[in-house]
Amino acid sequence: MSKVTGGDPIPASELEKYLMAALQYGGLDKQNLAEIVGLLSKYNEKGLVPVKVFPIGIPNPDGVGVQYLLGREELAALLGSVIETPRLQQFRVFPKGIPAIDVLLAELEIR
Amino acid sequence: MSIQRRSEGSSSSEVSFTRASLGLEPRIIQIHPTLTCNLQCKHCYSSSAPSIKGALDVDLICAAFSDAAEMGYQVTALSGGAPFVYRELDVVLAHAKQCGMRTTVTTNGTLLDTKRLNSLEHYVDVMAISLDGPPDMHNEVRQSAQAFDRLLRGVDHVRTSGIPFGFIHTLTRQSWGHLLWIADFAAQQGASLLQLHPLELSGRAEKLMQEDSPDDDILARTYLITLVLADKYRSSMSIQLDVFRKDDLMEHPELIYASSLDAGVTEMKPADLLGLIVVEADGTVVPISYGFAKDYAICNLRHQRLSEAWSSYRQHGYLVFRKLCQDIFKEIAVPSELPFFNWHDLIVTRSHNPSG
Repeated sequence: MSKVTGGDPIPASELEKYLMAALQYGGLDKQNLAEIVGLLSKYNEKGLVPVKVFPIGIPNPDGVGVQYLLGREELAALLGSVIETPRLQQFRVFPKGIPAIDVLLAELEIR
Repeated sequence: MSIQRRSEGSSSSEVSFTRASLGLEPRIIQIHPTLTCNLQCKHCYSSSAPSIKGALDVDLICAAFSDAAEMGYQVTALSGGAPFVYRELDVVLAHAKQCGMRTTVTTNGTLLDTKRLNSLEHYVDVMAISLDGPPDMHNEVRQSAQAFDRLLRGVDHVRTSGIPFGFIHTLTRQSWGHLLWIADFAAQQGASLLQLHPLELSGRAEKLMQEDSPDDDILARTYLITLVLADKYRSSMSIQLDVFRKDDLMEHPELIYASSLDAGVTEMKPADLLGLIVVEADGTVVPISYGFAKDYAICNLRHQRLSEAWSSYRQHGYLVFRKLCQDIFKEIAVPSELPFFNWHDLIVTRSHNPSG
């Protein structure tokens, strides 16, 4: 389940509707859009594919959150780019796997 | 937008890269046997229409397929006009298969019936069906009040035939807001591919849809929504967005033929030098895209076979084509706010006006 920062959760089944509404009617300006798309497309070229993309910001979405499921080496590759993202607002990593951590959920918010 | 290179082993959830759409993988000969069409769509880059008569001779097409296979091309992509008004469609497709090529047919979906599809069952690897949006939008672009209903019936027939199929959508300023509907419709119909191709301002589109071409801002927003859709439908349908990321081109100018030619060029197979060639309905063979200026043509099949023309083309015409690509590369190699652009539209436009 993704969430809107400081607001109600977005149903996972309706992520694309919320994102489309944010892209069509939200406050995502061109500079912000450029940074988000540039970052995601750069990751994509490295083989990193988001498991979730969702809008953030209440009442008018003005940013995008992204979740990736990563291995250890992929996280290292992601970190290199993350620290060069000036509009990055939050970056969280959640280890997954019992007893050994075999996958990490990384969540970025850019606005 | 594009994105991961499926040929390099990416998963089906990724938005696929434009490398394929440019014909670099696999190598493609695209052919337009006729410009006769039962519809007269606003965005048609070939200005096809019911009133346009004439078609390429079946022997010319089969000879071109034989030559293309020898030259390293792996896929024949039939388009039009409406390919299903071409009476010898089954003959040319059967010949393509005999040459060891994969076959795709792009259709508006309105002329598909069970009998015709049954005759093609063994010759068509993928059927690409055009879809312009929800019913009203589709009919408006197709300039036909019945186009969507007939498309639905056609899709039913294709599904029954067992021929794998996908939808190809011409992305416009108006249509991108309907991408959720389009993807949902395509998935519900059982499509295995949804290809999003930005409008090209060629042919009829240049006159009737001048204001409808998606700009870089819309391409970027489309990229984001496509990422989500690619994940949503990853188990059933691939999604391909035909745009290029500038940074990729800066790193890999060979993607758009803008790299320097090395001495080994004379040893390379034709298909490795030019990944996509297009046979237009008048027999002209051009590089990369329909509508490319005739100054850059490889030959005309009515006057010369493809295999006979290649040697001279490689020594002269091909070098001029590469020079055009390199000139455009220099122009786009400047910083811009948004990362994507429509290479197809740019190269075709500039081929008619190389000085910009």
